[in-house]
Amino acid sequence: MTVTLQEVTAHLDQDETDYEAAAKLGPEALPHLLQLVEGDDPGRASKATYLAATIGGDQSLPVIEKAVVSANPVIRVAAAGALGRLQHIPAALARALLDDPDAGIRHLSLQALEIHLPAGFKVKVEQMRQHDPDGAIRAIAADLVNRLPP
Amino acid sequence: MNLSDSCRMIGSPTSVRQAAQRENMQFPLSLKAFITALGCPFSKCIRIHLKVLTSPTVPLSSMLVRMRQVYQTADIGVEVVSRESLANIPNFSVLNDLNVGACQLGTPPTPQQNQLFQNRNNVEANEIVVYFVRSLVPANNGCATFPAGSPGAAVAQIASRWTTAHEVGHVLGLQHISGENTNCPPTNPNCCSTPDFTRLMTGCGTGNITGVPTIVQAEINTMRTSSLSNECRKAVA
Repeated sequence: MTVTLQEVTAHLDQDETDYEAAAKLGPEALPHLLQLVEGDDPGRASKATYLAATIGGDQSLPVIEKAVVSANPVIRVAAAGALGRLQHIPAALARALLDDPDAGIRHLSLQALEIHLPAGFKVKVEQMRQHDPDGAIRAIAADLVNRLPP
Repeated sequence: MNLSDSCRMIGSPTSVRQAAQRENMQFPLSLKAFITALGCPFSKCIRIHLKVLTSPTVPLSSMLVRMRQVYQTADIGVEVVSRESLANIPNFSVLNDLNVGACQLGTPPTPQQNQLFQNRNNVEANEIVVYFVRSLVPANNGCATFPAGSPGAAVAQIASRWTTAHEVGHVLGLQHISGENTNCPPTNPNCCSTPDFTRLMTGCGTGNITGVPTIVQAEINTMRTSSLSNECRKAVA
């Protein structure tokens, strides 16, 4: 079954997108999502990021990669939120988002770690516990760090 | 206090003189008196409070104008009781990207929604708070699930000019209109095959609305009988 761009945007244009319903479009929607995340509409781009993560699989990662390097923080927020929806956290993307200058994005990235509790992030989260300029993030990192595996 | 907060500012921008004359107000008239004097040319009023963590891309004033254009067709006025900036306040920074979960009718609000919506600050029980945030997680234009006893909605920066009116419609008890997903296959439910962009409560995206959307009589009845729809405060004779 071929998925059209119009079928994808019909979901993303909704004020309250039902991502579980939209994900039934399947991986054939991903090329359109990649196009939308690179487009000039931040609403569609951020929703495309979440939908790609909800569809899941390795094929969704290029969409999220594009969102991670977006100049628009709203789209990077979507990337950080999308991490929590993936089955496995992509380490390089998570590290980039944990270093984001935007506190909200770092916060959401820590929440994604909280969901997955992946190995290899304990040192980074300990650094954030000690040095993050945002007090709320230091507190979240302190709560999380001892639950992470080495 | 902002001139556009007055319940008298109906629909499209109108001059203070025109609005005051329509209300038979006495001249000379100060702006303060115009804004604060009770009285509203509608039989019902909703009272809303605007709390802003991040301003939406579409100006708030434009959203208010659009909202009044629709609500006046139900003979409902929209009074902005207060505005509060919650920007750059440490306790609120982590709520600026608000986790709203599935945001479906009947689903409970998330802990973050509970935390944000606790901040009512002297809002009365029958008044509605609209929180403007940078983004919703997952990304949505708005979300109208709220904790019991704290009626309100969250609206994201990416919202359309009609989103606030749409979300407050949900808070007043409106649901998305039916008939927009005709013959959608199981592989693509909610496919919006037959959208109706003439209606405020379209479930297919208020960003696609052209012109002033409508609300039908059944929706008007629901809005007017909501416990959040108040008798307008009458002018003192």
